[in-house]
Amino acid sequence: MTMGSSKRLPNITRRAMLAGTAAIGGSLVLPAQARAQAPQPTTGGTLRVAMPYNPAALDPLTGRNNPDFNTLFAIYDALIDFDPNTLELKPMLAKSWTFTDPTTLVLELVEGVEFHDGEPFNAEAVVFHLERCMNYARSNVKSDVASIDKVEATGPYQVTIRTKHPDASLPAALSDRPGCIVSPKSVKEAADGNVDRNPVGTGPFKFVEWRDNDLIKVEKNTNYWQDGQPYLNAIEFRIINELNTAARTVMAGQSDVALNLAAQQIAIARRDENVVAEATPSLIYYTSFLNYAEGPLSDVRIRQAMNWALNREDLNRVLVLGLGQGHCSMFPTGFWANDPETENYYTHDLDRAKKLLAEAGVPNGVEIQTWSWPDQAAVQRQEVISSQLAQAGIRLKVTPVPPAQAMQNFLDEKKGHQLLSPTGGLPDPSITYDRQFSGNAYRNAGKIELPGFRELMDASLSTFEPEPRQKVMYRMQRFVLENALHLPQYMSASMTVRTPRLHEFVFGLLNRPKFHKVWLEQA
Amino acid sequence: MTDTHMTIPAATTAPARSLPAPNRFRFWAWLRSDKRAAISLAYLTLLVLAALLAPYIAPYPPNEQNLLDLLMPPSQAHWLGTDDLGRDTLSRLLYGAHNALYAAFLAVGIGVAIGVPVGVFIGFVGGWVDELMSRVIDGILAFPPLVLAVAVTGALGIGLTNAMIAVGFAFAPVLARTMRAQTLVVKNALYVEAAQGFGASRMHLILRHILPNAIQPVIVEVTLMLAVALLAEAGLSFLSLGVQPPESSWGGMLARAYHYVEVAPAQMYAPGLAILFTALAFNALGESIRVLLDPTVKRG
Amino acid sequence: MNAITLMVVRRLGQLIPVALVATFVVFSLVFLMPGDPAIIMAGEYATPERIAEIRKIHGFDQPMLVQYLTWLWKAVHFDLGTSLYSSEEVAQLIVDRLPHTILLVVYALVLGSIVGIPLGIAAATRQGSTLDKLITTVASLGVAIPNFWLGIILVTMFALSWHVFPATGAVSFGENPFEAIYYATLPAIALSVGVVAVLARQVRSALLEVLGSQYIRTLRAKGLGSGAILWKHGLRNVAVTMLTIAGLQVNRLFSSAVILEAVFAVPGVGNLISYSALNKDIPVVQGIALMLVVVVILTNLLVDVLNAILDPRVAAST
Repeated sequence: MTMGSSKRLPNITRRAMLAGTAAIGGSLVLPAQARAQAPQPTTGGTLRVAMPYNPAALDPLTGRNNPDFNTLFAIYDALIDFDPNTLELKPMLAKSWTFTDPTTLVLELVEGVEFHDGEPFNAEAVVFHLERCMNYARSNVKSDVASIDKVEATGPYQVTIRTKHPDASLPAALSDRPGCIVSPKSVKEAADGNVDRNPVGTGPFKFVEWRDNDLIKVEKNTNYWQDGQPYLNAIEFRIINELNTAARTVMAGQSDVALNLAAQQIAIARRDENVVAEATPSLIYYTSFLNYAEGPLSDVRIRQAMNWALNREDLNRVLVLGLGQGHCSMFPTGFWANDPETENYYTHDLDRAKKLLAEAGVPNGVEIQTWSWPDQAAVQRQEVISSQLAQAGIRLKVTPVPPAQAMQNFLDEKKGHQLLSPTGGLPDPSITYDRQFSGNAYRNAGKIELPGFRELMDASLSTFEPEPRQKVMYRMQRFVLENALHLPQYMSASMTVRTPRLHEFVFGLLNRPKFHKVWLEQA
Repeated sequence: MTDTHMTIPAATTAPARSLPAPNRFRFWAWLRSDKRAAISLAYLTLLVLAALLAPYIAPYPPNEQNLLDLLMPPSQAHWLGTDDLGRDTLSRLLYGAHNALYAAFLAVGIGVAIGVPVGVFIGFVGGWVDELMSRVIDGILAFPPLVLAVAVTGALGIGLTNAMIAVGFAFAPVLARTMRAQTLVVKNALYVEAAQGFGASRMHLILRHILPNAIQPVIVEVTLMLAVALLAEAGLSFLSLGVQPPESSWGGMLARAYHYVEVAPAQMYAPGLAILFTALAFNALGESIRVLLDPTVKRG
Repeated sequence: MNAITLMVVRRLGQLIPVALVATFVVFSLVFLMPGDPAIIMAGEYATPERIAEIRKIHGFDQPMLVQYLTWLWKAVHFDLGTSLYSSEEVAQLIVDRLPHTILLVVYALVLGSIVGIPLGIAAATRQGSTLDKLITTVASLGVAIPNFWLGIILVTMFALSWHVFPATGAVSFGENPFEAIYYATLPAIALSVGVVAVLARQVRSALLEVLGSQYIRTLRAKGLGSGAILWKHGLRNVAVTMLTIAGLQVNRLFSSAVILEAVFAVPGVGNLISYSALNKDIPVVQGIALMLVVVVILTNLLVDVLNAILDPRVAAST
């Protein structure tokens, strides 16, 4: 096992690193489509993945964090699949899904599938699973399936779901955690129904072992229902908490791919010809949750002033080295729900910001009590944002607290006016808007909905046709921006470093890799 | 934390003396004879001046960001270059001096405020109080100092003042132990003399003589502790537990510079050297004072 | 041997109250936190029922002494609670991570001794020479240098510029001892500088004292050569001091490891405790502090035993 190539890496120049898109590579480019002559997949090999986070649980219902998905889709198949770059829904365990009426969704399931423990996958299993999503005490996905009223098996391979109100986002939810079908047998046999550490699904890989904060191992499911897949024999997920270290293991040949990286690692990896560093669009965005029910931010003019005071291009350039997108939409450029016309609704305009403040009666500025996270990256973000806002007279009084406590202080105890936080990464735009702005949403500190929101929200859920639905999303985007319901800063990027021998690996908009078709060139 | 002087209590016990004669301390003669003391004192004086005058002598406001000139190497405009947000490193260094000195003196101050009275008290009273408190002191000293500081800071909440309170807690037992030892030495010496027929209040005599006499090794220890406190503050700020941004601190600057070390390695030298030289100066001064107060103890 | 066993028993008798004080300090950390510990531990999405439940589970409504004893009882049975952040068991976290820290500390101690002791001897035997002055200066530097800064410099030079060592990360000793040591070398060097400085200084002065003593002068007068004096009598007498000092260094090594593990991204307990302190994950902070204090106390006891074996007079006097 060799450490590091003896070839010295050319020193990355400061200029190159900071030159943004030109030197480092465009952030708006979607990953290359299939090459002219795609090499043939080879079977075999163990994929070594380096990732920074240890999952809280491998039960899709009880986990909390998006990075858990690095491993989930290896072990579990979902009812509905999605294209990693567009989020277009595709059949998976459900070979078709139809709304027979606005509140009834019928799923036709694939036949001949077995769970890793040999149990048959059928309608009963799906019903059991969905009811567990709704009723299990430790289920964290109850809100995802809140619209479901009743689930029943209307045939050996047919499931009918009745919802309490029209919910066009339900199929997307079934491509997410609630749709990752857990083997009912494993749940029934587990103590307290707790399968956090013994996941059994129908996915292309079977769970082997999990050493906390160290290693998760899965091996090929030879009984997998999709012929010819997976190509790999096994996957080893190694947990390496520090991002630079994780990236370096790829450059040193000890891992094949490193996930969830930050801009720093991409910039440095791009200097090494032996690895491929990719930064592709992501659905995760950095913003501030605002309390617009009380305090200074209840005045829309002040919220708008904050939005005008930000220079999002600078934020993108400095904080993500230009690898993200510096605009004020909640979705990346080119995404179906992103309205290109309002994507740059707010540009950098200090005069306008000051004028709005004057209109709001605070010409000399205003102080906003702000919560921020204490880690280095968050501190850096907060420093730049504070400096930009200060130029318009908006002074942030920042208190650093750990994420869980920040949420508690701001959202539960309603202290402070603003919380700087990344968010997003949800499979459907309705869910994204709902989670952030609905009256009862956890992330809505003020717990109020401005007039007009509810109509748009309901419309987005009850419009099933793609084109009209898109129009609703555009109107919702405009609504959020006009009312400055939050302070969007920039879109993040999905960043990985991998060996060129790895093929068909896509981190995607949601950072949820699937390993069905991933293959490794054998050395 | 580096703490040579904390290791062997015996090394800090001055040999027993009888009542000292008041000596007229010839400051300048001392400086002339001891170059090390002169240099370190000069450096520290300059540092204090720089910290106090930072608002006037710093070329730029320390938090002024210049997003077009990130991580610049040293140049005419910026003598020490700029950091990851385009802020002038020299200015941040000067303002950081203020935090560094405040932190060091705060931590040591707390240590003295708690440790000295406790040490005198238990040395004086003796008996089971002494036994009990000595165990308590041993208990706290069993902690690796930074571990204790990190733990207390975590509990109290991050921030410079809390972090230095935590460090002060770690210092207090060391000072208490030294004061106790000194108190015992003087107490025994005086007890014998007093018992030989002074008649006047023993307590009065002891208090009038314990403190001035016992304080001498403490002065040395305090000076050395300032170095340790400085390093502790730098370390805690490096871990994001100490000085909170946007205020500058040498440790915090070092942490940020490390993040970008593959792109702009020059940024890590200024804060690192500042910490090194200041710690050296405190150490050197402490050693010189030790030699001054007790020339028989040659430390070289 | 009997004298040593007696000494151990006596020492244990002295150490138990010390350990109790230390554990009490660790325990009381949770009360230093502003706010209600139950609310903090309940985390996000906490309902009033959950908070009351936590209060009951952790016994926050009990008197402090009862709480302390319950906590201590659990700790002795290796139940250190669960992390607020990741819901993992604290004891498991420590078991996973402690070996990395111990590897660093032992490695640094060995390195520091191998370098520091000879330096101290050389300085003492050539007192006043340029070598002596050089060594003394280096020792002063070693004490004042922020070792995390030294770590950064080492990383820059030996890992990023000249690819001699890996920059960050660690391999567990159990998995691959050679790789483990390879990865641990740079951090151990940074960690050992303080040890070198202290050992060089203390060995030098202790040896000087012995060499200048009446006992040695008598031996010299009797015609014994310098070499024999140094090795047979000089070092023998300072061996106890050296061992004591080395033992005391363990405490400060754990202290410095906290920062160095951050610099070198070593997944040890030092890194975890600072991360947990930042995130107010109190059970983890307490668990690690407790573990380290116990290790330090036991190390001191071990040093005492070794000293007693080396020099039986020590056993009698302890």
